[in-house]
Amino acid sequence: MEQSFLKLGKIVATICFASFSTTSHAADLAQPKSEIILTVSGGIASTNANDTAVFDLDMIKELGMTSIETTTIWTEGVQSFVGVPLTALLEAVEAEGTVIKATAVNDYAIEIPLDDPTSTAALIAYENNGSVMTLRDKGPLWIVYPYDEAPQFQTEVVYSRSIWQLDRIEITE
Amino acid sequence: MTAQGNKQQPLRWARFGILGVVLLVCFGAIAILGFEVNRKIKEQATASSDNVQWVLSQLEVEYLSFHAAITEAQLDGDLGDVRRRFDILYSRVATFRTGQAYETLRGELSFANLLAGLNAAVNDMIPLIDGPDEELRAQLPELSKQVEIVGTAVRQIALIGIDYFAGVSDRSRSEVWLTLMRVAALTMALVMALVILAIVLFQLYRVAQRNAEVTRTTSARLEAMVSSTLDAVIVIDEAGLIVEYNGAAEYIFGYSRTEAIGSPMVDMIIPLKYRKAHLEGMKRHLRDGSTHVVGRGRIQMEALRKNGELFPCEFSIARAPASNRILFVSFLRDNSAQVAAEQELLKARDEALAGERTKAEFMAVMSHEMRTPLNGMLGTMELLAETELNPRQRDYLRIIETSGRLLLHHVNDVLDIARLDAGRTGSEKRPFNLSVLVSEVADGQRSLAHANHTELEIDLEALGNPTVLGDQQRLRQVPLNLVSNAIKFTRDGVVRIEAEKLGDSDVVEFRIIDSGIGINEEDLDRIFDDFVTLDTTYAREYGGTGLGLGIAKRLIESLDGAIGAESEPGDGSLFWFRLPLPILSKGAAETVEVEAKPAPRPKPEQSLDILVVEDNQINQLVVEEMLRKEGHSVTLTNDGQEGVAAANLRHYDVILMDISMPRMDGVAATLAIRNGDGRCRDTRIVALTANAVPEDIERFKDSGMNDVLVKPISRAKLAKALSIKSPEIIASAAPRALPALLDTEAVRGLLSDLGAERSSKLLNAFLAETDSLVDQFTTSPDNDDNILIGDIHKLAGSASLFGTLQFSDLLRELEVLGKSGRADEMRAKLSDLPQCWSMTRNALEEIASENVSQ
Repeated sequence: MEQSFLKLGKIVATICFASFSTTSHAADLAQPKSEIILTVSGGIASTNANDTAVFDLDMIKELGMTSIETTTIWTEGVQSFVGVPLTALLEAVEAEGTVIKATAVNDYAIEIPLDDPTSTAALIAYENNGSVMTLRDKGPLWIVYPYDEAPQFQTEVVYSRSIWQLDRIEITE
Repeated sequence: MTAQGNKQQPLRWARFGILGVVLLVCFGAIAILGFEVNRKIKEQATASSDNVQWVLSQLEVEYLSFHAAITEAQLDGDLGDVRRRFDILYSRVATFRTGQAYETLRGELSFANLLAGLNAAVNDMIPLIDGPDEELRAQLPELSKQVEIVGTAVRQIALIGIDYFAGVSDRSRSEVWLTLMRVAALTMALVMALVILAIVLFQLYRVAQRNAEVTRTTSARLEAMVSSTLDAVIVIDEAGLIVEYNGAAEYIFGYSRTEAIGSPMVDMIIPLKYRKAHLEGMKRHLRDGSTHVVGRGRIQMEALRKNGELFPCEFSIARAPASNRILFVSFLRDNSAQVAAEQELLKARDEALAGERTKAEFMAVMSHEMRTPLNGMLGTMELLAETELNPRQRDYLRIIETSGRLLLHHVNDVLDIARLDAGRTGSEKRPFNLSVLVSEVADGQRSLAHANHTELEIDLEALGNPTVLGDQQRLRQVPLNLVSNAIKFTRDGVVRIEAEKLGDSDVVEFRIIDSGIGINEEDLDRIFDDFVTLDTTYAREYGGTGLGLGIAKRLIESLDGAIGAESEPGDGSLFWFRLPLPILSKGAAETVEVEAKPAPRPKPEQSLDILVVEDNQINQLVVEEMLRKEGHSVTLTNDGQEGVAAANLRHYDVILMDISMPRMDGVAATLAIRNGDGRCRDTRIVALTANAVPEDIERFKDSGMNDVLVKPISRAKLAKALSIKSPEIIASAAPRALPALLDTEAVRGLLSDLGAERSSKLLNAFLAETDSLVDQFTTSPDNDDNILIGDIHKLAGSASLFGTLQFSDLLRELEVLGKSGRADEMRAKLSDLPQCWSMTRNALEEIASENVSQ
């Protein structure tokens, strides 16, 4: 049941996506003005650098601002994360695919299937405890989940998908 | 269910309870362990150890990448990569330092030391890394050296971490294993418990099966009993529906079992008239338990068959409490055969009794019917004897007369037996002189004895000359029969009569001893039976019905006495009888009226006008002739109606009234004359009857007859019956014939019974009471008829007790008038009382004075 609702949600999202893309330009994405911290490639309709979409921190901040309060196994105490939902980013790049491949600065890579219900809760965080995350603080971007919210976010799979020092995303079929 | 079973019940439930608890505990434990396993597995699923270990192993990779970047930078001068790799390494170290996943690991002293060392080394590098490019570039070889120094520590950290987490995993796995083992053990226990439960259940099943088998045998036995019993067995429930119905019931009621089961019993076997009562009784019983039939043993009733036949039955009902309802068990027996047999027996008895009665009646009627013509013959012969006859004719006539009298005697014997058997004769006790009685009996038989050349002796010395109280009439017959019997069987011998009082008692014994032929011993027992004649030769010679001793025995027994005989064949016999005869006085002071033997015919003082009512022509002839010979004038009528008609026409001095007549009998005729307005209303009426039973005589007198003349009629008797009144007619001018004032014998008996003192006291009381009552009746009689009648009745009672005849007759007449609704006549007649009373009073006082003088 939950599954079918999610599927329905996805279909609706896709339709909205499609209508949005027809009324907007493919190269609507602005050009980054400072250091590029994220590169999105693969099945995307919206680009700003050849076939990829590149983002600096301000561009990512413009995509949205969501916060999560949670503990993590890698940190001490309750952490406050601010970031853009993964789905919002995918929307912004008009992604067309079912799996995203996320890669870190040190080439650590994971895959997130978009039909996994946990994926909608995934947040691409850029602020931790009120500060922009540096590379030393697992920045500039860290995919986090609301781990304390439900046991489904406390699995090995979710932990492994919680990739920090993220700098590349590829949308694949 | 047995009592033992009841006791076992809680035990069994306890066992089930314990098993249930065990099972519950097992289930609970398994459930808890299941949760535990689930938690452990989840723990495994959520455990961060994989990622943590990966991160640990990555530390060395990051370290090596940083070292490689430094080496590379020394060749190409690219510092960006060096800085990036440092940052990554830094972040890894920071992760170990702060990450909660490594908290426990940080507790390991060696790890903590190594981490602290590494951290210090990394921190030391920060100023250089964050510093200007030139400085960094210049220090690259130095940095490389510093990095190499911490290489061992990095490796150590990774190794310790991995080692540690491997241990953690092992512990976790062994915990899971332990939990799983526990689950397995509990499951085993559960299985064991289930097996035990199964065994217990199996045993219970076996027990139940055995019980069921016992129940089955018991019920089979019961069923066999019920089906083989000859009584109908019907079981109904509280709704009255038949639940059980056996073969005997099928046979008795005619309904088949299938018809009966489930049907309402009341509609099938209870007769209509009892149904309502049955239903009400049932309702009452179910309501409050009260009952007339349930548990009350055998009850007789009627039941209904299918074919509608009612039959008598006997049944009993018991209440049998079943598990959840009430059952009524009824055993019912068909009593129709028994009742039929009882009825048959009753019928046989009734028929036998009726036969006896018929026999007695037949005998009475026959002897009556025989006596009437005999009377005619004997009367005619008496008349014939007074005509001119030659000696030969006179001789023949004597023979005929003797035979006739013998025949009459036999008939009288039979009639006596019939009367005694019918038990209709009441005993009448009066004082009489015993010596006189015996002498009279002997005198009467003396001529017979002489004819047999036998002496008749009387020995009463031992007895004296007493006046005794007893039934003279009955007693007289007993010595008479015995003496005449003794004379019959004695030739040229002696017959002796003895009597004496036995000791101090009232019992008097009589002995009649003869020197005759005697009786064989074996015959002694049956001589008192009816119709026994021992010696046919003598019997033929003397005749005899063989009833004489039977009559004697009956009479003596009716007088509370005993009779017996002893005999020596050839030497003679001794017959004795004894009976209670209270002796009133020893001497013979009283003169007892004795009927003169050769009764001289009393001459009539006057010629009377006599009406004879008699249907029998011969009797008419005899009576008429006898009366005319006495100088009376006679009018003959043929039945009661003619008699009443004649009596109404003119006055007669006396009416002789036969009792049994066609059209109207004597009693009815007398009533008609007495209650009519005819001129003979007060004429003396004398009954002529062959039936002289005391009750009849009473009845005749009640109807208004003044005297009774028992047939056969002789001139002597006839003259006597008429002469009683004759002096009265002369004495009083009153046309009405009145009875004597007093029954003197009765008065004397009463007075002597009571003794002088008491009798005079009583008599005076009676006289005073009667004086006052008579005075009251004549001057101021009670206004209420009923009270007046009551007073008259009371007075009549005491008056008859004191032997008054006329006076008590008058009182009784008054009472009859009052009670028959003729109160006016009664009141009018009250004035007759004073004169009658004063006469009666005088007579009473006379007797009383003579009693006192005695």
